[in-house]
Amino acid sequence: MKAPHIVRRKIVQHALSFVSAIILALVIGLAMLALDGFALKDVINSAFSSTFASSFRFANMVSRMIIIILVALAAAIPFKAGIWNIGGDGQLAVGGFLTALAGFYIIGLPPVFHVSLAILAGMFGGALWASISAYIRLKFNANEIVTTIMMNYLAVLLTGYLVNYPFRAPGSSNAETSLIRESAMLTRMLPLSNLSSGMYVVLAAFLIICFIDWKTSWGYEWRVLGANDEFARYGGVKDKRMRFLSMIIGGALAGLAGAILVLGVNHKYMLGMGGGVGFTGVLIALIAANSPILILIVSMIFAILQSGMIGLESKLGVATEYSSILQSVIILLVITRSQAWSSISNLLTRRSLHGKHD
Amino acid sequence: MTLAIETHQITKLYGDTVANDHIDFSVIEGHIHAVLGENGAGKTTLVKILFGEEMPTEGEIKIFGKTVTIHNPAEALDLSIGFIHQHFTLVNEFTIAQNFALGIEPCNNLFFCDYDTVNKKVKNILDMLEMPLKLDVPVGSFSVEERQIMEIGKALYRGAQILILDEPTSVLTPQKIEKLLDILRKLRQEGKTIIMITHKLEEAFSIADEISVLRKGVLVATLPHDRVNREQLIRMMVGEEPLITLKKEDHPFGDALVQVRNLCVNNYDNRIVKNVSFEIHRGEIFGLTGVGGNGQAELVEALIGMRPASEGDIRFDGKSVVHWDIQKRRLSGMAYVPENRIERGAAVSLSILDNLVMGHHYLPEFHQGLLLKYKNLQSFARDIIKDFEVVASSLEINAGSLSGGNLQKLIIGREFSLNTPFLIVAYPSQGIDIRTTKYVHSELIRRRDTGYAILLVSGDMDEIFNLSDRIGVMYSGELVAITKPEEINRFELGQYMVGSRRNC
Repeated sequence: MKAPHIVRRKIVQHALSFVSAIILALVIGLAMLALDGFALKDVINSAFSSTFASSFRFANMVSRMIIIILVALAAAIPFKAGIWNIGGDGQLAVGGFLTALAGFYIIGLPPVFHVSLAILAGMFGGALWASISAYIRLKFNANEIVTTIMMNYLAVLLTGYLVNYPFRAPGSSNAETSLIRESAMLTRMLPLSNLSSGMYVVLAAFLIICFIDWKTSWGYEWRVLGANDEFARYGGVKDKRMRFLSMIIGGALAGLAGAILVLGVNHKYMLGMGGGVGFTGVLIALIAANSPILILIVSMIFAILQSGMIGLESKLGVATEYSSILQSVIILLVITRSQAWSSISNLLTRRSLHGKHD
Repeated sequence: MTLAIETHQITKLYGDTVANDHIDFSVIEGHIHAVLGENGAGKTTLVKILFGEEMPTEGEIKIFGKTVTIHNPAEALDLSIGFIHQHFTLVNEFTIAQNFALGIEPCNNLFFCDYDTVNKKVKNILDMLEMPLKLDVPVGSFSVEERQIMEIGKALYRGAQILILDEPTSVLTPQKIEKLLDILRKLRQEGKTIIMITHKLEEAFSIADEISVLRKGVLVATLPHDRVNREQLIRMMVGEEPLITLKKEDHPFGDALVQVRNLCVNNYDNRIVKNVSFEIHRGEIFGLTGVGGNGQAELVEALIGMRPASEGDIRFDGKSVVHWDIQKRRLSGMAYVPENRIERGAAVSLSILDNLVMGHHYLPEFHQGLLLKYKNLQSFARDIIKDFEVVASSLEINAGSLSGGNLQKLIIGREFSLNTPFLIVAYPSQGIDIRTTKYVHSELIRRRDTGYAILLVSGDMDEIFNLSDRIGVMYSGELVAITKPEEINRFELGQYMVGSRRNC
């Protein structure tokens, strides 16, 4: 499967600007740490070793990465179609909760079917949650940025109530459901690590999204809707239907993230298990310009940064805030870089034209 | 004889497109200078450079003999250059005085501005322009031509000695055009220098002292108006290729493909289209005209399905389509070339391919279920580019990088190649060069001759008279006349357009 040529050229441009932004951000980050009195050698060492020193650590980084990919796609698909989805966290929570219920209450199924069913429950939950905001937007024209964010709070409060009272694990003092049945658990790729066979599900989901984006009329109509919705409507695109569809696909992806967290990592729904990753997804979708390939790359970089930071924190006592600062610097640089890059490419073409004149 | 403007070797590049190629352009003080050229010839770029909206890549500008660099419109105004845009830049809710003095109000303190002084000055200017307008009502309540002249007044208020007008007559009726030209003559008497960009040879001839012709970014020539004739000018504008002249044969029409019955269209509580009835037969071009804003746009939108009809019926090929959505109507055999190319006719940030695919991607030869057959689409797109002579280096460049004329050819190519029996074509030659216009016209005739039903919406009298088999005129939301081009003259058509006469 190959992306259309124009997509590839844009990816290259974006990737170039992104890489230079990352390097610049790392230089700034290291400079800050150096000013703070840390030895750069130690910093680099422990940051690296916390991700790459063992297969266990690497697996945990990958497990972090696949969740980020899902929530980034959850934001990017609706963005493409010109509708905002800031509700990844809520969709993840509802999806995760429904997955936990399916994992606990369904008994006696063979693992393959049980896992599939639980995953579907999670995707359904995310899609359902997203569909509410989408419906309100498309029917009553209420701003979806507001409604998706509000739905995040609602999801947290609703699942919070449910896991505190009706569905709290017997005897547990935490806000969490009972452990799911063994038949619903995803196999861990490495003992004790967070990485499960859910990574194959994510890989499949990623490929399907790439396929939809590049090769199908859905991807095409989303692209046109995002670029100029009046043109899309004029051409006969059913704008509301396509936007609704993009939103529930986004919701399903966030719900899938919740399902993977429940079935592969925690084996139960815990309140706040997403840790606000949905918002990271929104940022990544923005800096990756909604391109699935770039989302893959950016998610990996963010996952490495985050696990590197955890290493710095535990080994050297570097404040965790550095991680957020570094991520913010990257975002700022990428956004300014894309502008700078187009100026640079303009300069280059101008020079080549002048060459012809002389 | 002093020169108001003199440019030396002005060159402007957009990416790898040369918009202006080493232009030496000079305008004599106190003269009217017309700039002619096809679309994409670089006229607008040149004047944008003079007004500081664009910076030249190379070259030098002298204003009244002084070499200057104009970074932005404010600096241009300081050099007494005023620019009258094609679109209006007035605040509709403000009075004339508030508009003219916007940003430069003579204020006594933080809160109170002295609009009496402004009004006095405004009144002087309006008197000179022979426009006795009310000073205490919002600008939005004035007509299009009044606002057009107000734009000139605003530039004068701000001290402009050199006025640049970008196709000032494109929104005006013939009677009003004459009025505007009179005003420009008057301004010339007052010693102002005027540069007018236009597509219309007649205007250039009737008013200009000098005429410059641009072609493909190059200044072909600047000539005094009495030393050049139409023939020469056209040749300079389009190059050496011969112009195609239109020949329309009479032929019998087929059945009524489109039947509109008592159609009404509302915008909120406003009835914009009132009880309109007409039909269009196979093999017929129905020319719909009228002064802009009299319901033509809304009628078209109701036909294609972008706007709901509030009453009445639209029958297409015998079936009532009034409740169908756009996609269903298109698939049943309608295509539409819209009047606003950039907002509606294209997605300028997407590739040419993406722009050409729209609408075709529903057709069975281009998809299999959800899967789009990009190979077929690409070869189809290449065919359109070739058949409709769109000048583009590849299918992957953004549609926004095409010139207006090329974008129009792209849109027409996309819509025409749907091969639908009914075509809605709105203002096809607006802002388009002569050659493309001729091409579009001959395409329309060709399709008419092969039995298409065509609704041509236009404000251009030549276009309406030359192409239409029947002419419908809209005024204030009503279809006030249906007639044939051979049965009326321009003056009568003008009377229908301004509502002083009707025949149905």
